[in-house]
Amino acid sequence: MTADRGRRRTLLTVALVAVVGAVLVSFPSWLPPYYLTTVIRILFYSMLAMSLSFLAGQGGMISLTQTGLFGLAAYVLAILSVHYELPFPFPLLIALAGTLVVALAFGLISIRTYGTYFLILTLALGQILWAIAQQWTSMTEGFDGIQGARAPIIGGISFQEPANFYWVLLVVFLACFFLLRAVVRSPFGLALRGTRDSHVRMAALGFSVPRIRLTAFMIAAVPAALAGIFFVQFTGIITPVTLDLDRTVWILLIVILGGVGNLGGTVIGVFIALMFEVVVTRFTDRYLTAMGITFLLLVLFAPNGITGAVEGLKRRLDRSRRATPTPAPSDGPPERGPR
Amino acid sequence: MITEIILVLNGLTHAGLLFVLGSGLTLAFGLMRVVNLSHGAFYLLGGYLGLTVFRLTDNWWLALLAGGLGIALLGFVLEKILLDRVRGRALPETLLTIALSIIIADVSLAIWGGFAQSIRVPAALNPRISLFGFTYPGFRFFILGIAVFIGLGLWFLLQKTKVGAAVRAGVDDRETVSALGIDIHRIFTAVFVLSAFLAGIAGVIGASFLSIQPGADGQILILSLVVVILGGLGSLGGAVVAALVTGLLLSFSRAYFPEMSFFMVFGPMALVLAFRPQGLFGKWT
Repeated sequence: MTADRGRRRTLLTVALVAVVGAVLVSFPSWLPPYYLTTVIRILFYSMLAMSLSFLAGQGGMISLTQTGLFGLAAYVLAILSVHYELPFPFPLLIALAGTLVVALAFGLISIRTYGTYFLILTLALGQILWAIAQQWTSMTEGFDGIQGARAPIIGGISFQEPANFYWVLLVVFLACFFLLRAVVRSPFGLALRGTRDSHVRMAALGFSVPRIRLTAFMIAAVPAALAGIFFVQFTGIITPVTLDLDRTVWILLIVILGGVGNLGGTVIGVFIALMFEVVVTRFTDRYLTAMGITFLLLVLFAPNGITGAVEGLKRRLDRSRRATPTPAPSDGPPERGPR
Repeated sequence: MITEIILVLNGLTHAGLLFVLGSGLTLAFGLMRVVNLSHGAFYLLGGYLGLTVFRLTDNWWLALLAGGLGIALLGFVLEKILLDRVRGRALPETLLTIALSIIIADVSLAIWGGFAQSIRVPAALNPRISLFGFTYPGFRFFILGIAVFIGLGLWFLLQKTKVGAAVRAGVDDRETVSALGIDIHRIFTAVFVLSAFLAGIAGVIGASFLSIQPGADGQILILSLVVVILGGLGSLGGAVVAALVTGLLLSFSRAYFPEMSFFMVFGPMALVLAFRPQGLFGKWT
């Protein structure tokens, strides 16, 4: 490739980023309120899905506790701001810190297990958070949940205004996205993929496998907790339903739709899942059955998701064009990881 | 003192139910390396089947049989048409069972509705038993009896029969077992169906002394997972000990810390796993 072509390519990238950025930032000024609400939902659910996608794709850790951490952050914030009426930065900071402490405990318990065992252990941990949300009625108000958590008003700027809320969320979302991407591309990311493909060999090479996996688990907890904080301040309500098994599976479905390990793909996954929900609920009450069947078909026939299917097609086209085979992408399907 | 005795008895009853559930789950895992996450949904559907049969025939034994056999049949069909396709790949198989559990629970909701229901145990099976000056429902001893009977039956099956020997050998080394000319796939199917049968029976028992409603599948699944993880995946003896610990803890914490009972159950699991990630009696696979 000549230097000239390289420069043109850089220019093209810059132009593309500028256009996409302008569109994203200008959404509130021209999108109807309903669609802005949908965009906001897509953003916080994508942050949650990204957390799982990162762990599953890079570390081979299918953690079913991420929805629990999401809900925990939301509950802590709601309890502190509604029941204890703490002023602005405190509920948010304590929710984030508290969730990270619980994530550390969960991580310490689960990182020494692999594959299916890791999956069911994290499932049990996440379901225990759900059970506590349901049982500890004096704190969580049980099934009714806690209502009234709202975004703050700082210096006269109300973040309850959807446009302002959206801009803050967009910044946090992009920060999470680029941070996770940086982690994936760093030497640490390489080591993490090493533990995914063979934790025994990585240990033999002198890497501390538990430390690598725990670090990844803690990194992944951050977007999940932040997503929960945005979720509860936007919807104003948190109930045990947010943490339940169906929701966990919903997020897993999104991650598989978007391609496991594909961080940007989660946005597409959430978009499809939300559209699916809108369309299906129009025709039938059996939304969960439809979701379960979709999930089943996906696992059976397209385990690499929509983006995986598209990439597979692209690779096949590339191959026929240039006869030289391209190497397979490093993000393999989850079953490639060791047990 | 009387309260404590009642709590111990309640805990033992619960332990019996959890053992029936956990034993099937742990056996299937030990052999196939797959955790059937629709075990909770099997329990729920088994309970509903039993409920319907009981209302039609007024015969508790028939209800128990219907729940067990119905779910065994369902397990057989699902194993043949779905799980067999992804056999050997643990994660897709586990994910499939999650999808199945959601479908089963939602279809059950459509058929049986959203309110809590239970089977009224006939008086012949539920005599009032007087103990140390208080009366206690005899049905609960009966449940304990069923659990012990199933436990002994499983032990006999595993330790004293040829099929059991093949299952135990399959847990340790699948390749060698198939090389010896034993059809390991038939054994997989048999163990999965047995596990489904036990979940169905547990559903009818659960519907008789607790109640069943949407969401019961999720709760029972966590408790069975706790039993299986605590006892060690694949260990029948582990399931006995873990079911006893979990059942008693559940009973006492429901009485003394009603808002925290699930958390109390989770405590020992976390503690054990911190020192023994493979569970009390588990082997690394």
